Amino acid sequence: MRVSQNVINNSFAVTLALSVAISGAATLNLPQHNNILENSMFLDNIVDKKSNDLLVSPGINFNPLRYNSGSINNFKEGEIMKEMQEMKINNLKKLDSFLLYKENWNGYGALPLSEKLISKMRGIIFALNYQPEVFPTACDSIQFEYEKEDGEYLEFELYDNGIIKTFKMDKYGNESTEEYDFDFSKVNEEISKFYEC
Amino acid sequence: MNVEFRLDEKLFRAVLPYKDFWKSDGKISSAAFKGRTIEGEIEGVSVTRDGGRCLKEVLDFMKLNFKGNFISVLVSQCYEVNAHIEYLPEPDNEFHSEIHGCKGKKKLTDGQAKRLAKCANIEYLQK
Repeated sequence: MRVSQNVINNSFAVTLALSVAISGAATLNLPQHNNILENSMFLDNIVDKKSNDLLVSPGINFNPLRYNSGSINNFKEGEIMKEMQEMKINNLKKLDSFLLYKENWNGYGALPLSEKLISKMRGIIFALNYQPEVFPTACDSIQFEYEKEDGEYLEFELYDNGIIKTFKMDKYGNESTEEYDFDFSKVNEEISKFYEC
Repeated sequence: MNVEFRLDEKLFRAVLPYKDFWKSDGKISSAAFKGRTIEGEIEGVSVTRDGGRCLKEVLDFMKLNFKGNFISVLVSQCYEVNAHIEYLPEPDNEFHSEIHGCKGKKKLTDGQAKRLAKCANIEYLQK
């Protein structure tokens, strides 16, 4: 799926686009400011350099306006989409609040999270349709996680240096971890697999 | 103070900022059990042992010395996930201890952090 990059040009535009989506507007033309995208190395995995379009794996709908486009006839699906969009906005707001952390923000001497890391995480949150719960850590990373009622658990920890760590625990408590250079399609695939089970 | 821990001894940890570590189901995220990085090395998880004090005494002490909400895990729960606990008193906190992944390795594994977060007990929530 390819989605116009215009929609995600800067943080303000992200929030604005999502706000408009929820308030019911169908189209929105935003000015082009590519700095955030160009400066985020993880976007190498998301952006097609030739067309400058955003690449998103099949099964994960990126378009924040989709639920409002009329293509969804199922009320339940619309409600889920709406809930996901609200979670997306809340996650983006939460990430913004991480920028305010000062030294010793957790009371145990943690250092502030880097703007670069928070910016990367914003891009991921914006591109994900299955919204996770997002948490800061004291070890220079941001953690995002998914959990099912039966205990099945999927956790990602994104580091400043572009490394991402995946931790999975199945409902029987079996664990696995994997560490790799950030790859959005791989993250998407893990999330899709998690919800297909 | 005894360097050995009782199995039923509680280890308290302050969770700050107040809202950022709580999941939508009301539980704590394992992110709260990840130690800070100092010069590239991840430290153990700082806690305050009860040291034989009653809950009220410990909470009064915690309120004086820490901000945030307070949670606890039992020493036995740490041992169940094969974590190691070390008593490391500090000048301003004679009850200070650290949970380590194992003896000789401070960092908890993701699984240890997750399992401890799952069984953590909420002791005090700031209103």
